[in-house]
Amino acid sequence: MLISLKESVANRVTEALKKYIVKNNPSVEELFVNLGDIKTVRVLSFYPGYASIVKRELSLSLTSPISCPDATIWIWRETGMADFIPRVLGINRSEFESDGTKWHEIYYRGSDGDMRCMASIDTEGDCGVHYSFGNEYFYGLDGLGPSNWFKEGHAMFQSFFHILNQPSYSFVHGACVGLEGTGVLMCARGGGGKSTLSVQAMLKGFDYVSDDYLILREEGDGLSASPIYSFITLSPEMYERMYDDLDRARFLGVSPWKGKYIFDISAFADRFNRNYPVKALLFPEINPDATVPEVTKCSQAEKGKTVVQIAHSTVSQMGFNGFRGGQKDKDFILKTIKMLSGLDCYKISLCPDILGNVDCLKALTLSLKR
Amino acid sequence: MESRNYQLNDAKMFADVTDGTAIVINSATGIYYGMNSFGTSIYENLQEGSSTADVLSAALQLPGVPENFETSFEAFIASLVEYEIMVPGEGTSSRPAVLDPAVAKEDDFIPLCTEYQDVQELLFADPIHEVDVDEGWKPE
Repeated sequence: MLISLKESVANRVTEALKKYIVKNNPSVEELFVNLGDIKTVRVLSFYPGYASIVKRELSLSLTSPISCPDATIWIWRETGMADFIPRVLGINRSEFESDGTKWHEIYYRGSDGDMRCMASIDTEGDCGVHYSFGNEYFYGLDGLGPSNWFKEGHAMFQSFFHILNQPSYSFVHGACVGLEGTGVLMCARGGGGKSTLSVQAMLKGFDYVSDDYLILREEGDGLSASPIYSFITLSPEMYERMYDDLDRARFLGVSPWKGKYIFDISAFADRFNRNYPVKALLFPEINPDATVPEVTKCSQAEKGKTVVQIAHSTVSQMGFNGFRGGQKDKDFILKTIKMLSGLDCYKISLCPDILGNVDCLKALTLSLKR
Repeated sequence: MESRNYQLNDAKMFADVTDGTAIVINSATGIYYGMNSFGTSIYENLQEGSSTADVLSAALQLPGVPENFETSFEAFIASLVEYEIMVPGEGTSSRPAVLDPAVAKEDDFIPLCTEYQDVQELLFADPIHEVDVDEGWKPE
């Protein structure tokens, strides 16, 4: 069900929501997260134990408290999701549920006339509320057991995406590694091999930014990448193959999505790089029948395919706050196209020899530097 | 329906097919489009050189194809042209089209291309509801 509110009402509802959270959750832990030296975010965790999850996932991005953060993320435990709507929003429950749906979105009309999504509420399934107003973001979670802490913790990327959606920055789904100040941005949906290649490259001496999500920053003619998260995900098979080199990685859990293992690699802090120059796009494809990896320069159509992957795989994961083909989608996509259009694009056909793949990537990266 | 060959309007459109779904982005506007599985299959055949007549002929051979299939096929092709996703190709060629009957059946033999347009258009059609925290929502 879709509901639209006046901005003044949305403001009042937000204040009521904050009072409700504070009243029902006696203790709070406060953390500050530095997003690529661009924005500082305060995280208020009213959910017992959640702060420790944030610390594990974002250990290299935690920073000292500041008085005026750019945004605040509120996280609390919300067990009665269906009741949450009438209780906090003052909306008649029977009317609200009259269409029989379990997924509700609430919008408000801003002073500029634009409609903005302020809440998406799921009253079954994963069951949760995602809410934002101004520079404040709210996550109400119903149950945060070991099987879904990663998923829900990772969900903060939706807030990060919005906070960083500025003209010169983008929070995108992609990986980045490099050598001697020459980075490659890897774009692929899940299963393309970018995590394995980027982690293996880091273990073999590459400078590392991220294996999954990163911040792109445009400055003058240059593009750079910065990390946020300090964890990686690997398939059990790839973990076995990298076991000896991953001796400093700490096992965090199993992803509920594809059964991948999650590791905290903050012990590899010396390998992480911020504002790392990006010089080329790389589109990895796994070819299990190949005996050696191969790099080819992409045609314009193949480059377009790569841009679609990075833009769409990012947008499609930001399924709240009006990101359903709305104006912000278009703005993000256009900005991303502009950022990436000046880069050459290469396709790397990955073979089962993961060390051979890294050697191939090394040769490509050094050739880009020349 | 006049038989034609079409190709991706690659001067303007970026496209990718993953897991049987075509996603197309208009690089000039940032609008993106998604096709259902049957639409994607037709799009891929056109991209590989089949003419509209080739695709229509293959589709009409599928078991269970509805009598009015040509209408939905024409509407699909018209949407690809209207969205500027595909443009008429130079010259004409023929290539037997390959369509999976299970994919066609799953989508009820209706190929679709959806424009992910601004949700605001949908919302502007929805009235603004007066909400009072004390009194509750009063539907207009």
